[in-house]
Amino acid sequence: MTHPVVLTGLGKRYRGTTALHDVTLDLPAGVTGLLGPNGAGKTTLLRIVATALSPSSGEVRVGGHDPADPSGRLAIRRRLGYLPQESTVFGGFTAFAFVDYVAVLKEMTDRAARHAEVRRVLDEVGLGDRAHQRIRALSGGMRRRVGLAQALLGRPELLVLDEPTVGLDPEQRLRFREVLAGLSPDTCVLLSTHLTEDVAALCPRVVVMDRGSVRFQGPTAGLAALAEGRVWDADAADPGATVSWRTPEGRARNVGSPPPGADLVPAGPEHGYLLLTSAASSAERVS
Amino acid sequence: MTWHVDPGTSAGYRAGALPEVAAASVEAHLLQCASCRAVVAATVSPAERAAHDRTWAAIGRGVDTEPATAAERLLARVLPPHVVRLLVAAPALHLAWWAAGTGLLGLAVLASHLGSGRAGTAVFVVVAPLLPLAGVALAYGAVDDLAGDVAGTVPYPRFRLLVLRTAAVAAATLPVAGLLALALPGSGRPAVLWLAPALALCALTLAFSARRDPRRVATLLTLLWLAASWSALRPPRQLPLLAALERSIAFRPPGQVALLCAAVLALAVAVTRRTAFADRSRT
Repeated sequence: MTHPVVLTGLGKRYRGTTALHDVTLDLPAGVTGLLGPNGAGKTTLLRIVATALSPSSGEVRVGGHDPADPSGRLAIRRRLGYLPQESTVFGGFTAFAFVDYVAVLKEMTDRAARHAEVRRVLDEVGLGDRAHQRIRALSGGMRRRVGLAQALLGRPELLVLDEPTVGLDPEQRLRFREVLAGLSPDTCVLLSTHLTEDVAALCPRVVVMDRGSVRFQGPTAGLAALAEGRVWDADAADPGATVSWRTPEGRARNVGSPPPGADLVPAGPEHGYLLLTSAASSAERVS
Repeated sequence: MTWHVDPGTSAGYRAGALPEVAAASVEAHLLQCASCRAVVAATVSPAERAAHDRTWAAIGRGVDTEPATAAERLLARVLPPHVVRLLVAAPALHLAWWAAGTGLLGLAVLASHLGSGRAGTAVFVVVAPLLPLAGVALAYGAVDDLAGDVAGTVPYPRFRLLVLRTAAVAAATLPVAGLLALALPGSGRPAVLWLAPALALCALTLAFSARRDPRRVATLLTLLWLAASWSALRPPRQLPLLAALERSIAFRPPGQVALLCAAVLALAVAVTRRTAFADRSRT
């Protein structure tokens, strides 16, 4: 079966800086998390998939359509919901008026049907009772939810969400998980985050990026499996570990190659992620 | 909470037969008590329920519809509601309307106070074409002012949005400029000489904006226009106004025809390269 999003040998350069290098990904339906440190190229990749940016090299296919072709781009945009990282939304709008404005840009011309859809998405993100408040008067988390509401308009087949959980409190994060869980299983969701707990809670699949390249793609359990048997606790940070930190219990948790007889602890996705990104940093420092 | 709505009270409330005070008490209780709401709801017939749903939908529509401004009501007579929504929502467009309108009025006042009136009319004819141009540049210089990055990923064509805004500014400013020109001293043929350059400058801004920032394009065109029409700004006393204006080729008949042709050509180029407008932000 053809996957909804297929990227082949994707590259992007900005004035001599390489933001993406030879990225090849097959994204199936369902939720895929894009994990990586700041500057990893996550936003660039999402903007390319969302047709906001063109790649310098490589091929993009979304639902079989090529965004380089105007008709293909239009077909993608008709199936797309996009939440950008920066919500530079005009604050003079009410939440309802803003989502309604975007709905018109999404070709929803019938007023009654459009307003019903706007109410639906605002209710979905828990802002039904704030619909007529000005955006500038809303908290950061609420503004983020207004952005999410516009992305959900028209039940898109492809949902591209750049750092959707930034600014959300724990209760709002739970609500966001419910929203994702309520989507059709055929919807392809690509969301970026730098929080491994988001990925563990939301995403059956994960892609780890670092410095413009893909370091890992596969099931989230597979990311945790990378670190299985490579996480151990000790009284002090192990100089041989790839990365170490102090636990709340006062012990040092180490990730890397454990010494014989180490006090091994179960690995999670964050350990696999740290192993991948920190190992790359170490290798770069050595070279 | 010491009491609940019994079936008799519920039936009376539903039929509107309770005294006002009792009905208000029941209503206040129902707002807080889910089980009593369920009791009352169970007594409602499907026909009544459908009527309530219709009422709520109408209330929803009323609440969701923000009060229409005078401009919105006027536009709604000639344009589909969703197009009006796109136009009136844009703060950049309001700024453009205000800037161009205020500029025109200011220019007319200035022109009426200059010398014998001939010099004022000359200044008006030279400067008036620049005001719709400034309005157009302001109106879509910040086309993503409302929806931010989202605007670059929606199916609505960016070109259509730009044309809508350009037309809205032109429709608001050109008739005003025309009326003001007719009221100026020495009007007649000179009163229409500003129109061809105004159309050409707006159309050229639209065409070049496929690849360049419209505000820069407008600045460059302003400088070019002032250079081309500079000789008409200070009409010598001995020359009639028309002859003085025609010292600049832009105001001679061939120049006017050329400007109108440039306007048509620029519009044709903009239409044929309309997909480039969407691509400008993708690089």
